[in-house]
Amino acid sequence: MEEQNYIQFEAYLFEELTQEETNAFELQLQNDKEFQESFETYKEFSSFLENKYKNESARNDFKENLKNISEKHFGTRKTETKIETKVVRFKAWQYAIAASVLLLIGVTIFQQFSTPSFGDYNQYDTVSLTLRGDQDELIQKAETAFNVRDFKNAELYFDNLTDVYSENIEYQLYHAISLVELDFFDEADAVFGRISEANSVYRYETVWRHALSKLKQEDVAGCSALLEIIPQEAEVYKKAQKLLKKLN
Amino acid sequence: MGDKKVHADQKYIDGLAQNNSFIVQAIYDKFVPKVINYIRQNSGDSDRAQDVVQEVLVTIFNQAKDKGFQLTCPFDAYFFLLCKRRWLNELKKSSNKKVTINEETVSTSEPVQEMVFETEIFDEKQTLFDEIFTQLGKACKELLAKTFQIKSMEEVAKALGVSYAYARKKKSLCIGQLTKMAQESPQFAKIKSLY
Repeated sequence: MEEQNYIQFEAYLFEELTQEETNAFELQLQNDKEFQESFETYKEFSSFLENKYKNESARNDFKENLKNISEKHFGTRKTETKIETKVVRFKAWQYAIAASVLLLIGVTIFQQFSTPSFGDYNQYDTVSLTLRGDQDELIQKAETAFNVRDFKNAELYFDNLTDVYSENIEYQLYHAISLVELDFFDEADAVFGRISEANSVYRYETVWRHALSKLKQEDVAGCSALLEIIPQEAEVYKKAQKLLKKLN
Repeated sequence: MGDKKVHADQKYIDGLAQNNSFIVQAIYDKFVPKVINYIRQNSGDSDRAQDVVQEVLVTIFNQAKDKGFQLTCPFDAYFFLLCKRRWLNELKKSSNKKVTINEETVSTSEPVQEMVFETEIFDEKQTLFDEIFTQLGKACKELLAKTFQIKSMEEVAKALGVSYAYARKKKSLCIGQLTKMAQESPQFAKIKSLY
């Protein structure tokens, strides 16, 4: 359709054409299929937009009300699962950290005087993501790929998962770790930056992994700066301090 | 659908459209537990069920607001089938497969299927139009938003600092662009072929 046609559509819908123009327009509607189809779509889009904006505040009110009622309805159950999940996952990380600390103590003896490198730190504990009885095939694939250090596929699967579960910080974290392993530093650092801003249980774990990314990039200043952010109460604090000492 | 009888359960549709808390609450009490059970038994949990239910209710709300949407079957069956199909689609999506349209419909009566089908097409079209709209240039988006928020075109022109004639012309051309984008979209052709 030409620009002129769209201007005509609008004028027709608002009854701004003269009688003669209207007759000609309606005749063309009857005889010109392409013209008629375009007009129909134009009309559909107009009413879509009208509805979108006209009901915008009603829709927002409805969503808000729905959210409240829904939370009341699911309330207890939702909190239960949340707490449960948190506790379980937290524990997994604690084990991970405990194991890493043990490993560090062992390794430190050998590496006390050597320059630290990313390779000293990229042993990951077995990931277990299907804690909630998720049967999601994609989650299982991601988990397996990560655990066998197939980071190329792990990156793909976690990338998909972060699309599907955009709120899940754990998946984003594993996605970023996979990116670091593949040397996609810019992308990884962007993810780290984003998720360390969110106030989640993975916050300092994220900062730690971000620091390791810098280490792999041999950006000692960047790495140190990140390690210094990690506060004493964080589980990764000791690791961070040790690495910091080695770097200086 | 024209001459079919409107079902007594239309009250749920109207209640949703009016954001009637009493009706929304009744839907949660009466119809949602069945959905939660279904999703839990099929690889989900109540968190996921909560999302599915909310999405479906927003879709029904949108359709009820759009044009006199009339329910010609029981709400229970209609709502359950919508939730169930949305959940199955999500499952298949996350494992990269597509759900087939007529899955397990043997046990569902025809009017229910028809209603569900209508709502799904409506939802698909809304989603597609929304998506197309986001691809529009910034200037057009702004102008259209203003056009439909402010009723008088004179005021729109004033707010944007352009002449009335220009605003009018621009509006038609912007919707024209959307029309063109929709017509070029294979998804739109697919939706069109369904109704």
